[in-house]
Parts: sequence; structure tokens; C-alpha cells
Amino acid sequence: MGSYLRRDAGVSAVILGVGALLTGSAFDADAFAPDRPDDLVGFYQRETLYSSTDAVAGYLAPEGWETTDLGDSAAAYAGIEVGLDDVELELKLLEEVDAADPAAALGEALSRDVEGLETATTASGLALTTGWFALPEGHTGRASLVSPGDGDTVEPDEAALLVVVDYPATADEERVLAAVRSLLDSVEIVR
Amino acid sequence: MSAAAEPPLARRLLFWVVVGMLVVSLLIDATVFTDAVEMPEAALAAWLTVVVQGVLALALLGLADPLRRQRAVLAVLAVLWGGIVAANVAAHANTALGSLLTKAGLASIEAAITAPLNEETFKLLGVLAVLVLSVPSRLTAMDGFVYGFLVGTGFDLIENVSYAYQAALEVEGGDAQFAAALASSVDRLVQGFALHAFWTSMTGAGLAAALAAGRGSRWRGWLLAAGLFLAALVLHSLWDLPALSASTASQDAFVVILTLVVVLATAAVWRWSLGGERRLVVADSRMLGVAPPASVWSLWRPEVGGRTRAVERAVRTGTGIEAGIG
Repeated sequence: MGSYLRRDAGVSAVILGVGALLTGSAFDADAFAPDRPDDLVGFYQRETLYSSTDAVAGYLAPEGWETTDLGDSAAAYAGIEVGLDDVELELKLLEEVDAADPAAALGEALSRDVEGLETATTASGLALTTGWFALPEGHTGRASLVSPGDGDTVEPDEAALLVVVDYPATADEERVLAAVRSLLDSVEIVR
Repeated sequence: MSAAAEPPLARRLLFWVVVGMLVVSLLIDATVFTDAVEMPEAALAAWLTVVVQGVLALALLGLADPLRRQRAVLAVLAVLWGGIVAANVAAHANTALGSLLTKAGLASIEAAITAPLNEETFKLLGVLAVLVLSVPSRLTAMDGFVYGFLVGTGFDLIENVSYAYQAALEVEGGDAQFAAALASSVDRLVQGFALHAFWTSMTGAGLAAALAAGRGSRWRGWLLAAGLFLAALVLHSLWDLPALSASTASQDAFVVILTLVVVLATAAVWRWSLGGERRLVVADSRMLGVAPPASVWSLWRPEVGGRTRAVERAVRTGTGIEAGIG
């Protein structure tokens, strides 16, 4: 009986000790660790997305998007993080987009009329459609739709990416674009 | 040969430590069960699939373990540990370590680090507890393989239920939640079936072999256990790595190849564990004055299994082999 008790006590101590070490040490270390949001692992290929209107520039993948931030298919970012209080950026994955008519798809995705539509091709050959629309309180919205593939309908695993930038109409556009680039730089959009 | 009688489980300190951890884990987070009230349709789909996967896993284990010397109560304890303690506590440890790694700039690969480290460790602690509770039964690598498989199965099942609930939460309406939960469960059932069971059967076999090793081969036993644990960590980590390419074909090929490697590695460990079972039976046969089995494959003969279980029972109860097989 005594040998069982000693053995059980020893093994119980090992189980509780290792369990507490793994959970407790991680919680403790996390609580005191400085925040460093950038992903240091250059794990994926990235490429710059070019637009004829250069409304959007950043790291966007040429086919398919997968990012933690877009886990729920949408993510919003505030320009305040890069020093522009009034700029907001929204990324959204869209499925079942009519890739044959991206201009109509862009208007449909935004549920509003889009002006100044321009189409272009990304460096990797994806269709890029960009336009702008007026927003309340003197803001302008600039939207871009990147449509992978050239079929009739974008497959669910090839979702289109909608990028919407909301900024004051009076803002310096270069500063806005710089802010957008900074925001996009901080977003992990990978292929 | 007469050993001291084994105290009943209810008088073992370790048994109550395990039970206590089960209770505490449920107190910390029982959403996998309570969510069934809020999403009954999703729960129906998830638990139906759990039954299917559980039956398939047990059938596979039944085929793999010809002698089935392990005790039913400990087998149940192993499944509960995997599903309740390991899955629950590892999830919290993963969150904490994942946050730390993200702060360190390793967000892309945090899951590939946290999941193997925490989950394989917590599952193996359960195997350790059950193996020690099974003493004085003669330990072989197969004991660790079996209990590891059961701990891993418990983990697999509850993890699949959690994923099914997550899928159901993204849609509204009972029918849609049923469909979402079913799709998630079937996907998990098909892709990655019993992976946790495979990984933990490998680490469990190594641990049991180390615990059973004699004084002369103890270091070799622990080195082997460490090697198998490392192998499971690497395989698990590869599974949790983000896709290396956007190409669906290459992603699918990677999954297929990795699954094949996991299955082959588990099969190799199983084959080696069978060898340990045969050595046990050969020793018993010589002691009893009967013909030893010629190969590992003869372990599936009913008389071999029955004789071994009787000897096992005699050792455990301390009644002597003659009484045990009498």
C-alpha cells in the first residue's frame, strides 16, 4: 500500500506540476511580454497590387486570400493607428461575385452607385476595378474589387477581395494613400 | 508467483487526482456540453458524428490490440482525460502561449508551436496517469499504445464537437446550424480522422516502454520515449502549419502525404508494440508449460488472448497464476 501511495504521490506531483508549468508560465509570460504585432516570419510570398488610380496599394495576394484578420470574412482598421484619425479601411472577402462584370459586382457589394469606375489589371493578372462614392459628413469612399480568375462566377475558395477606404474629401490624398499603405502593411494578407 | 493485491482504484491517490482534474476542467469550461442546450440541432449533428467516429476508432483499436489486456475502467478514464482535461486545459494553454508568440512576431506559426507542445504534453500526462494506475499489470508498449489511442480519441471527439459548434455559430436558424455542424463534423471525420489518437498512441507506446524498461535498459527506454514524443510533435506541427501555397492541389497533396506519413509511423510503432506483447506471451507460455506463439500474428488466436488475460488478472489480484487461470 505504501509503495502505491508513494508512486501515486510522485506521479500526481509530476502531472500537476507540468500542467501548472505549461499553463501558468504561458499566462505569466504573456502578461509581461511587450506587444510586438508585426509578423516576423517571412513565410509567404507577397506582392504589391497596382492600380491605375493608385487608390489602393499594399500587400495583396494574387490568388486567394487567407488571413487571420479576415477569419470572419471582414476586417476594419482605423487610421488612427497610423496617425490619421479620420481614415478607415475595410477589407472584406466576397463570394459568388460575378467576375465577368466586376463593375456591377462592385456596386452590388457596396449597395450604392459607384462613380469614376476604372478597371486595371494587377501585376499578377487579376482584374481590379476601382471607383469612388460620396459619404456623409464630407467623406469620400474609395473602393477596389480584386477578382481572381476570369470565369463567370468566382468560386468560394477564390473569393474576391473588396477594399474600401473611407477618408475626408478634404484630406491630402497622398497622406491618405500613405496611411492606407501603412495599414495594409500591418495586415497579413497572404497566399 | 504471487504479488501483493492491488488496492482498488477508489483507494488510489492518483485516481482521485485524475477525477479531481476532470471535475475542475468541467468547472472551468463545459461549453462543449452546455452549448447543446442553446444549439440543439448543431449538437445533434455533432454528437451523431462523434458516435460514428467513436465506433470507428474503437473498432480500429480492437483490431490493433489482439490481447486486450487493458482494464475497461481505465480505458474510460483515458477517453475522459483526453476529451475533458487535455482538450480543455490545452486550449487555455494554447491561447496564452499563442498570445505570447504573436507578441514575439510569430503569429503565422503560433498554432504550429502551441498545439503540438501543449496538446501532446497534456495528452501524455493522461497516459502516464492511466499507465501508473494500471500497475501491477505487466506494462508493455502496447498498453501505452492503447491508452494513448484512447486519450487521443477523446481529444479528437471533443475537438470535433467544438469545431462543429463554431461552424454553427456562424449561421442562424436550427436547420442551417445543423447543416453547418454536420458539414464541419464530416469534414473533420474525413480529413484528419483519429490524428490525435495516432499521435498519442505513438507517444504512449514510448512512455510505456520506458516505464517498463528494466534497470539495464532504462536510459534506452527513455531515449526512445523522447524520440517518439519528438516525432509526434513534429508531425503535429506540420499538420498545424499554415498552407505553404495558395494552390489547392498542392495543399491537398501536402495533407495526403502528411496523413500517409502519420499512418505509416503509427503502424510502425504498433508493429513494434506487438513484438512486446509477443515477448510477454512467450514468457507466460514457458512459465505455464504450454507452446509459445510462433509469431506476433498468432496473438490473435483466442486461446492466446484468453490465457494472457487470465494471467494478467491473477497478477493484478495477487491470487497466483494457478488461481487466475483455474
